[in-house]
Amino acid sequence: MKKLLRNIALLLLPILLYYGIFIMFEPNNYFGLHKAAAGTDIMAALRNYEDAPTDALILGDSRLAKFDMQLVGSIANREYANLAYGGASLNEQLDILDWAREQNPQLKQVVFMLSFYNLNQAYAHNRMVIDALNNPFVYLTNLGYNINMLTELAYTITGVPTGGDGETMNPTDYTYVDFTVPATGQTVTIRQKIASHLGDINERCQNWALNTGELQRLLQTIDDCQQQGIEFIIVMPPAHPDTFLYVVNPYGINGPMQTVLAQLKQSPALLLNYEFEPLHPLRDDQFYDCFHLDMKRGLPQWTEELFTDIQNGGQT
Amino acid sequence: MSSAASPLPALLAAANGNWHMSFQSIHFLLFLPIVVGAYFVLPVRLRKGWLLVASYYFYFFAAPKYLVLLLAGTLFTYIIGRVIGSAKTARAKHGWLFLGIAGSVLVLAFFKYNGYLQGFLSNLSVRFGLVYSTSWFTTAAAMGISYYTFTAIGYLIEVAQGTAPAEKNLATYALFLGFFPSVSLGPINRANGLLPQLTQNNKKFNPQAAANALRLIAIGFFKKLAVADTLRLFVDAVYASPEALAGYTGLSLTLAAVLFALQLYFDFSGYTDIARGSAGLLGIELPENFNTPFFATNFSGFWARWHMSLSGWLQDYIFTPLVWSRWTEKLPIIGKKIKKPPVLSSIFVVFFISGIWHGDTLCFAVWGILQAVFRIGEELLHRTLGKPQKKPPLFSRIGKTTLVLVLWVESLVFFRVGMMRAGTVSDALAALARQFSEVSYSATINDVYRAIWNGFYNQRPLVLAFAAFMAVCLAAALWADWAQCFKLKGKSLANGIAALRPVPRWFVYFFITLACFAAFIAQSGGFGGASFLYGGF
Repeated sequence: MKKLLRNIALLLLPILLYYGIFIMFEPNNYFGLHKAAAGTDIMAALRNYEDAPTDALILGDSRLAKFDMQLVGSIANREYANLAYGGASLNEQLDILDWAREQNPQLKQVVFMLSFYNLNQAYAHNRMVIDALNNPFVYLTNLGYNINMLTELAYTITGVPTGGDGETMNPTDYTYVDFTVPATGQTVTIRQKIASHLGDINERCQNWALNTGELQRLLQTIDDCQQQGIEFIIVMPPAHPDTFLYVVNPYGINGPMQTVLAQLKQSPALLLNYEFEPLHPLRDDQFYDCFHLDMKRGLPQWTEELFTDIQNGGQT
Repeated sequence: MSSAASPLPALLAAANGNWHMSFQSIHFLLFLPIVVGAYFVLPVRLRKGWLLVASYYFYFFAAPKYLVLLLAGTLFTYIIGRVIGSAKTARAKHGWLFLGIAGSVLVLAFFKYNGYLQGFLSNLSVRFGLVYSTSWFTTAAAMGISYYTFTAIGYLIEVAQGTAPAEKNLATYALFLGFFPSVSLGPINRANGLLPQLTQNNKKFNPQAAANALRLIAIGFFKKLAVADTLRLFVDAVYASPEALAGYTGLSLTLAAVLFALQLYFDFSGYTDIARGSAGLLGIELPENFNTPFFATNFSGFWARWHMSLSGWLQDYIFTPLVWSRWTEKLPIIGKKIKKPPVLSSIFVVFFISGIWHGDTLCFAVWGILQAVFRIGEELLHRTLGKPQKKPPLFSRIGKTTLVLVLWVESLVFFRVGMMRAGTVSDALAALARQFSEVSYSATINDVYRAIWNGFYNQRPLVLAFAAFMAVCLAAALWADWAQCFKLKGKSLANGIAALRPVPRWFVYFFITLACFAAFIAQSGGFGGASFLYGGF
């Protein structure tokens, strides 16, 4: 019997070791063992919301996750819970919204990010955020969180500081590279950060197809929110013009997106479209990469613009 | 009663949510050691009750809606069994047996074929303006109903024939039908096999037997998680819908057909290994279901090695009685001319029943008929050319095995299309016809890549790593099957691993453990993940 148990323990040793590493490097500070989360600490944000729900919410991916919440509060004159986090998919955002509505029936406003990128059929991963919040087994065994942890581990081993370079860069430090556009085969010289991000976006969008199921779910949620008296604001964040030149247009994503935009305009939601119809186009140096704004030169300006537009009900 | 006062709604939510029970769930991995540990710690008189409670706990968390059905089926067949056992005349025994079988089959048919009933009622309601709601008869397949119904019918027949005694103890009988390792997908137990083991509860924990049972469980998890579930990504993408199926080129359709045959085998044989291993930890032996069927050289051999508990059941309770009854002689007009026992026609009946047992669409019936055609054709060949050699030359053996495999793989196209929503025989025929029409290696590689990209993770390095993992695990599983057939001569693979020298043995242990762990993470711990393929039958 002892021998059997010893052998089982020996076999499980690598798995236990792996989970030791997992707990050390998981970027969401799920177990509360780190001083601060390396990532966007969605678990802590959800727990905070559970304890003290606010009447306004921000949902989205990394593009909305890095707002300066003090600045947001000073412009909007209300407290938002920012439940946006890196790589959030549309179905994950909707799952969190369903949960948030259950947690707080008095919810008044939702700022909900939408983009051609998360409307892509192939970008429908599900990290079961709410289930993971309540069940550590879901968190420990979820593929997405395991990949997040391994990425964090790789950053540590290779010496890349967590959080990269803080997503800000001086134009004098820009490096330029030749980039072959996969969709057309043409070679262009563009900023290295843009080129590298375009490669990732291209990989995910080359077979772009509209996720009609999640779009229908979104439209239904908008109707439900209206009946519940919740103001629903759809924010389509700005994207670098090269994203349109080298991915969106060559792959014909623009056409189906115009149909989606027409549907959204007919819905009761307020649509703030900085992606396809930017009212105040941003400069190249205000973008850190294709989707993310420079934390010093771009994001504060857009934050101000966005929450002023929300205050004004979309009238600028 | 309010939901706050009753724990039932919370339990139901847990059973349908993250605490859903299946062999590949964390819930089961926690449940099994507790059940086994407590079984050997408890006094002997409490052990059977403990196993029954554990079995019903398992069933509740796997399929809470249908626990009542299992209980009702248990009570019904228990009473019938007791009445048959105490009946004085053969006529009375047969009458009660008929009632028991008819009642069980009717319930089984209702839960398996209620789609047809819905269609019939819907037509009636349209024609006569009746009020009818489809929700009255909307039922999912009740978990394990096909398996425990066949187990119960087999028991009633044995009792009526006097080859097994009627079980007097209701708890023992309830455990016989609801025993957690076999309740969901078999193996289909026999009265003389399992019932006597359930009454011997004074066993002591045997570390050596437990180690062997754990090896079997580990092999089962490897087959299921690392092989069948990885192959599933491509197979499910190709057979997603009739429209999707029509969009693939010939080579992709052929590859999907081959991979489905492998997926089905490793899924179901993996399940069986976990079931047998789990029972083995309790010192209980369940029947085998598979014995390297892909190396059979003829169809009779194949069916003697594939889903053996079902094949044996069909043989003993349908085929043999049919042949002995000489039912063809009782047919009108042609009956008088038939003088031989109806072997071939009974083979046809058995395979047709096997087909419709698997599913309620025409595709499954066609699949069953094809098996009958292969088996009858083989029988006729043997009658014409004489029985085949016991040890044929190598090339002849390879040729025969390949032919059996090709026919099996192609017939399974009907089976897999039958599992698709709205899949029809013409979809299956079209897929078969197009298999050799367009052969494009690049299109097939792209199809595999896309299936992994969409079904696993959308990042190139991870897609390639997954493909490599899939190839390595499949190769290892096929090699193990080959070794079991030719090196171990059909003996258990678990025993074969135990007999290895320490270094290769521990290499195999670590390989299986880490591959299972990687595959478990790849499907996010089974939360909201895949179930066993045969769970739907």
